[in-house]
Amino acid sequence: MWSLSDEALVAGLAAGDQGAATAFVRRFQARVFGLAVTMVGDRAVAEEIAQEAFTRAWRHAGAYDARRGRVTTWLLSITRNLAIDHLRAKRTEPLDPDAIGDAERAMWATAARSAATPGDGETDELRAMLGDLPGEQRRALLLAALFGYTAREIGAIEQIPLGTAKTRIRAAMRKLGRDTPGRDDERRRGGMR
Amino acid sequence: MSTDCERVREIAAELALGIADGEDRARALEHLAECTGCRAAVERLSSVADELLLLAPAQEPPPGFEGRVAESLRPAARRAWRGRRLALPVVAALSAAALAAGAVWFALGDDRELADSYRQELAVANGEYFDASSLELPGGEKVGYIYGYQGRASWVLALIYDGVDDGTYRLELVAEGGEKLPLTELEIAREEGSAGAATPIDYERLTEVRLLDERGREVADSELRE
Ligand SMILES: [Zn+2]
Repeated sequence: MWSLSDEALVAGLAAGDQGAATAFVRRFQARVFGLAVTMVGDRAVAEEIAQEAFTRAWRHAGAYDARRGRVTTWLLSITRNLAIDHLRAKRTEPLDPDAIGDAERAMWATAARSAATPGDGETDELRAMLGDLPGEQRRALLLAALFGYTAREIGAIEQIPLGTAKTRIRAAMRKLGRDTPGRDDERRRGGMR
Repeated sequence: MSTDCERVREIAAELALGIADGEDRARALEHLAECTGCRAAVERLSSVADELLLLAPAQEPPPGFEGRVAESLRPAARRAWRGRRLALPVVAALSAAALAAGAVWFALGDDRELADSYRQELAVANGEYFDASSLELPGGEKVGYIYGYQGRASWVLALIYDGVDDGTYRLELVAEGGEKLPLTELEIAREEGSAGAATPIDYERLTEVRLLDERGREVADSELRE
């Protein structure tokens, strides 16, 4: 007897199966909440965002398309969009200079933890590549990816020209994206060794 | 590469991160709708942006979160559903060419990976289980998948992604004794379609799912649990 894959849970969610809904929340809540906390920095707000992310996923479960990507990334990108809506709404407040540093550190903390946890290799390579980026590129990338800042806003925060902000973001993404295709194959081979 | 392509490639990172400004974005989406190469480039960067989110550390939410959220997902109005068109936003619109370009994350072409992920054994309450089988033309060419779910109610979901002409079709179940049971209609547009419905008998007792055209002729077939 097989138990449910992530995709099956989403399908169960779409079909209105309560058991699937509960299992879905249980399986992903730490990931969703963790991302929301990392992005908004406030547990109470993060909890609301996480709840809303599950509600949206549930409402749109029928439109989830397994061919487009994994369930985890689908759900996390829903969470990201909600968190960014929240962050953008309060953009009038100045950026907390600690927020980006905290987020950056949080990513590294998982790096350390996962290095000690065999079997959690799926993101190790990306994390290593992120670590290899020049600090200013990494910051620009995280400001965009985790906080939804545009190149113009990043320019203002970092007090650099717009063109420089764009260059940093693009360079960072180009480096991370360069080896993406085939990475799965390497992982598979690596896993069998 | 045209100048349009160059313009899109230049802002591909911002598009993937969702921070391109409105006008650039609108112009790019228009181009992406018709340019496979640029679409593949943006999809690739989008998968990087998505993967970055996995680096955020997991954290247990406050006690009671799970129960509260699961409870809010309860409304029972959505028992069986059918004929829902797949939502494919322009940027993600898939084509054989995009896959040939090697968009690993959009794993449609990678049967092995799909099968693996669908067969991952993950524990869940109530002993429900899930099954995936390929849906094939008489010649053996794969046109989609049939997903079966055994829970308190069983249901079957068909996903067709290629190789079947546009039109209206029906899904038919075949039970152990050869009995045939209608399931639901399925609409195929641009060679894609999906439909699912609760099954009248337990999934365990089904042996086959057939895709029939409007005249009742078999177009494709899936042998379950082979
Ligand atoms: Zn192009």
